[in-house]
Amino acid sequence: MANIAVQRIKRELKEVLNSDEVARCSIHVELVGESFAELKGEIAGPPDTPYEGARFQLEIKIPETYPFNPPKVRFVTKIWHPNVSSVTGAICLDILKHQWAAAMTLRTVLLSLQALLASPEPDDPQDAVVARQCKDKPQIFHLTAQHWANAYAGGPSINTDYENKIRRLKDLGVTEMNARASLSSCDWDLERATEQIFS
Amino acid sequence: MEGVEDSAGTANLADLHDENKRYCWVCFATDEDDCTALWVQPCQCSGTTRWVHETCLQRWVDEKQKGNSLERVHCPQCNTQYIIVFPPIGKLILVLDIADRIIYRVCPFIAAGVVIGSIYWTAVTYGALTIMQAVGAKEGLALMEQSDPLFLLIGLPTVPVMLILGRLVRWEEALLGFLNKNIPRLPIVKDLLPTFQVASNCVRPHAQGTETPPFSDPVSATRVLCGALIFPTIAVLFGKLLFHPVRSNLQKTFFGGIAFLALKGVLKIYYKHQIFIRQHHRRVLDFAKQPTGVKGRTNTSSNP
Repeated sequence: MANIAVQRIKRELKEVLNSDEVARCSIHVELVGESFAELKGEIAGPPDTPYEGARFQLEIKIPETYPFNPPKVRFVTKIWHPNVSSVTGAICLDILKHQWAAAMTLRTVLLSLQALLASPEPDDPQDAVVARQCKDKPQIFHLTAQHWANAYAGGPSINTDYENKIRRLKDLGVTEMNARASLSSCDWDLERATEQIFS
Repeated sequence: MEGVEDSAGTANLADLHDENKRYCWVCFATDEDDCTALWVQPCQCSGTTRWVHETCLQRWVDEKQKGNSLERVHCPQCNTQYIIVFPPIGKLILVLDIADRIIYRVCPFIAAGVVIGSIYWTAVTYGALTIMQAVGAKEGLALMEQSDPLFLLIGLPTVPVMLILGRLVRWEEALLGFLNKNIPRLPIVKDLLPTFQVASNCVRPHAQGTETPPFSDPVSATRVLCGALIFPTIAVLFGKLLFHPVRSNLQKTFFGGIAFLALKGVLKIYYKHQIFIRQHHRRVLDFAKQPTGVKGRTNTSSNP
């Protein structure tokens, strides 16, 4: 890996580990292996959002040309959000693409992702299904995001209605993950989700 | 979507490095890390993005320009356009640079000119050959020598153009349409050509076998081109075969051309009409009553 990238990651790690956010456990970064090419990030769901109380793992890959090109960031923890793919975890955020500036850091990237969780942009979606739900049925979107945060990211709110519906599908031999994904995309209409799975 | 602006980061980094210390917003190195590097202050930024290593900024500018060294680059933070100057240029280099740009600009036009010129001279040659074919080699040459050169330069290339345009007039189809429409109304001809009755009563418009228009695909365009360019040769051939008592070569060719067009038109109308009749009389069989060996028959019938 290029020397400039390694030097910068080293300095950034020093910065981020000394930051207030890490002190408040709001964000966290650690190295994966010894090459400085890959890091593991973690952000706390922002307060007053469906993600509150949950923690999301991120995969951060530092390109050879860092900091001239943005790091490649992806959600490892599954999340229900219009700008994050509910399948792959790919993120749609301008600063991770053409709006990247070399003055940005791992810390500002993670804070930007937190801000993205707090203010979804369904008009510039990564996951079209989630985005449509977010626009058309905000109530269901809120509950679904909360449920996913509970199921995958240690969020506190348990939704017994949704749990029951998932159990009904599991009794039919569907895996829990598929059942949750189908029910979520069908606005928790059990009949439609069953049809979607078995057609 | 906007990312979190750097204000929070700025404050935080300022705690780590006090205001007097310079530090590069690209590589994050300070004076202590590298005391020899050249520093610049290229924009209106203050705080942590005020200073940058010249080499780091050069690399950032390269990254943004992606090879186009004339593209303007702005500071990603304060959006100030960077002022980039080049060292003074030697006269020879300046001349070479200008020559390089002129050549780059002019070459497409020259290439287009060569292509158009080639097509033009091909058309002139074809026109001359056609005239020699039509009136005879010696007479043709004599005729062209007598003519005004300007007239030849304009007139000769119009020969192939006119042939192609003429080929685009689809008179056979118009005539066929006219026959289909009008023959059933005429009392005597109606009985002589009973098959035209069918066309007027047809309820399956696709069965009319409308031909694809020319230039709708490359193959039909080449057909128009070949047909148009070979036409004078065929006209001469027909003239020699059918009208050899006629003295004048030009008249022979003229009559030969008309005879060929008429023959071709009649054949085409006949062919189209028969194909249409065949389409009209096709039947779909009941599956159960399908006689053995019909598979082979259907195959051949789909391949007229």
